[in-house]
Amino acid sequence: MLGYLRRTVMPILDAWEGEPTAAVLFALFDVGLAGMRAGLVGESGATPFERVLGQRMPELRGHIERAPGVIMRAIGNGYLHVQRERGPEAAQAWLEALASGASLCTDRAALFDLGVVLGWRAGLAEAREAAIDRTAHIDAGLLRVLFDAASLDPDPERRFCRPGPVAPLGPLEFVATAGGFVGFGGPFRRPPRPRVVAGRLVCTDGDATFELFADVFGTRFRPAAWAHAEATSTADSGGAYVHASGSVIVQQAPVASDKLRGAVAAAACSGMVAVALGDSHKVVVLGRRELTR
Amino acid sequence: MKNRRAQVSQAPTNPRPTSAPARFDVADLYRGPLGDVDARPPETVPPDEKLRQAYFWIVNHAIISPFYDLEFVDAPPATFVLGEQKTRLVLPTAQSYSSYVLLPLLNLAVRRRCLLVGGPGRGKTVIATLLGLLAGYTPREMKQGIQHGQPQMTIADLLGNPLPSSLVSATNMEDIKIAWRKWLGMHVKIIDEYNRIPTRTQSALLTVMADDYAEIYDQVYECPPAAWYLTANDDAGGGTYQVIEALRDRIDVVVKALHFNTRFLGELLDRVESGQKPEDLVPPEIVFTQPELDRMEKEVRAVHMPPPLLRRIEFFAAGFEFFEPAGRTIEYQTKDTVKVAAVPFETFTARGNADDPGAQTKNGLSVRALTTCLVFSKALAWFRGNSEVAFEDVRQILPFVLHDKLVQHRDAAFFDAAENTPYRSDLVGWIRVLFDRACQEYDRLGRDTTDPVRDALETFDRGLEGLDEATVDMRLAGLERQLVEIEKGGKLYGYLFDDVLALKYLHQRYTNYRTWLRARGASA
Repeated sequence: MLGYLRRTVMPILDAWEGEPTAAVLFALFDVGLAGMRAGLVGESGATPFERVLGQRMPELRGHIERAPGVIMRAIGNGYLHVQRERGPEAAQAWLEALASGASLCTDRAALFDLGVVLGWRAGLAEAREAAIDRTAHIDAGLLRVLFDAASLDPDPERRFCRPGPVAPLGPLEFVATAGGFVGFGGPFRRPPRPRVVAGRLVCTDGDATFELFADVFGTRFRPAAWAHAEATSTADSGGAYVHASGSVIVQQAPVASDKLRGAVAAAACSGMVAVALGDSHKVVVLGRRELTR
Repeated sequence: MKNRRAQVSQAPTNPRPTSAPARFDVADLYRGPLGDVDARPPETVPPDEKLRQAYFWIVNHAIISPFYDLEFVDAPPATFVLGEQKTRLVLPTAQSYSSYVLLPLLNLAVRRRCLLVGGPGRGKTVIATLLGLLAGYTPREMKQGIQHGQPQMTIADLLGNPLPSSLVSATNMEDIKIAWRKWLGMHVKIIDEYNRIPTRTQSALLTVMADDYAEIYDQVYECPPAAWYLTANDDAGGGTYQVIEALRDRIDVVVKALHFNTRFLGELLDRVESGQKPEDLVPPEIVFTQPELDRMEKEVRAVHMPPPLLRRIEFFAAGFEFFEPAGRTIEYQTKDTVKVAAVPFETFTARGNADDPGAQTKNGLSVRALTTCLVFSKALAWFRGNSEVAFEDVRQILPFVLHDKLVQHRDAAFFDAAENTPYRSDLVGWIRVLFDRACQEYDRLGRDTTDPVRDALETFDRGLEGLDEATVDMRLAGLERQLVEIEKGGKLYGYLFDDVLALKYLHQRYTNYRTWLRARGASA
């Protein structure tokens, strides 16, 4: 803890413009205390979080001064969340970008909104709707820097398109694989089956059900206990199925892709198609990207 | 310790089962080992939830109104048949409300005009004042803002006075400065005992109520949108002055104060002994800011009215205006014709078919009345936390909106039946029966699935552009076939009357188009 105070807190306080309040000191101290147990702060050396925090503190200072404890806890928790879900590089990039945009956030709520949008951009596909909703509160200039677009298209059919210039959608194509066997870090014990429950795309292996989130920034499964009962009893596939010939049919049209060999079940919802393969714990995800000219 | 009377019900006040959870809870991102962070924006309570909290605070702590006359059920309710008249008592299974408290609250949300009627001491002025306090005014501002009707009330008392100095020095009307009354600029306007205001002053009040401006000496004061509350001890003309019809017509919703249930005398005693007035105890959590009030009104307008329900309302409303004896020209066979001609309704001796809703009223529904029905149905659905109006919202709200709008024809045959006699005085029950029977008739006719006039209107709405003469001829023949069917039926009812006029309208539009087509063909 002393090491953290010496190598991270002291330089931050020394570089503070004006006199930092006791609340700022306590907030940094508290983050060190709880963060050390969570691996956010290092015992013997500085963690990437400490390094980024030290470097970018001038940009975050305005918000931290106004509510030191709240902002420091939010930054630390957000960093840990992105790191756990998307890895350390993504978390560092998240904090760097948050600091870059902090000066354009008028208040704490706007800073938190920016954090959500950046989390989505970092690959938290489940945050897509919330993030697009929050972009309404984000400075237009900042949005342009982040996405090269003045506004984001909420159309779920365009989820695999880059935000920005609108080009016509292309045909359904392979975009990702997701899932995997529990023994190798995946969520499924048996090859899963995709279903549509309450207008959302889920996959179940009979023991557990997970919701599929996929878009241009990432593809993820998240636990969906709420859908389990219906997923194991329903046959709703949202108009997608595997023909006796083995081809995947979505909205009456066959989809051609080498990745679909061995397909046994498919379901489609909100611009995503999940295809289960007979001998795999992974699911093939199809979607429509913008046509390239 | 917090005053019990200032306690606000905890949210959610109308809990309902949630289906799928949100895909992503923003708070999750900032929740973690460093301690949870409340990432919600500062305004966390949605306005509908806040209004429900306000409702429950009023009924629990401010106004003793232990009634649930706006009944909602979500499961088969327990019912009991009571008394000599075999009155059916229903125990609602879903959250139900007291109209006396709820409707004034909804009026605050939609900024319309609400009349509170009831004997002295029923809390009419108190509830109106509370709504002003909920809108963010102080008790002192409300005291200044309430206009107390009295027989000597002049236009100057109501609107303001010309400043004497400017009156003396003015060389033209524009130079006269008016000291406008402060209440004109308020967002909650209260007129206490409006039927004690002299007729001339009522006319000035009408301008403010109807057109949102006041005028004295050519000077105009533009009033902001406001929720109006008027009170009257007696709705049947028992005030000092007869209320002018135009003013009555501007009232959107009428709420009657019900009697005092003596089982709650202890509660009354408790209040007397505590010496506290509800006006002094309004909890700050349920006070609305102006942006919140604006947002409420916007959210109510955004509530969806499903087309099938709208068609049901159309069918119900069509039942009243048609009055065959009023004229020989079909367009003039309306009660409005009788009214405009100032012919006493009693001149027409027909007492009507007991099953015909049109025979039970002396008038039809005005556009204003229909607008109010739609607005308050949306408001009730919104208050209940729904984004779409449900059948029961309409059924529950109609009696209060139409209470003052549908004039009962008390001599109609319908009221002679013993079971219907009470409806001469129970207007709420009567209007509910009218709506229920209209819905039964609507279902009997299978209008949800078969409505050729609706189909014809929808076909026409797709536009005439590019239609050839053969298609137009075919459509004209179709319209005529529909009229033949109506002709075969013999008797005309209100809904058929509107159908006939709609068919005539369509026929004329197609005929004009065909004439144009032919003229173009001839010149080409």
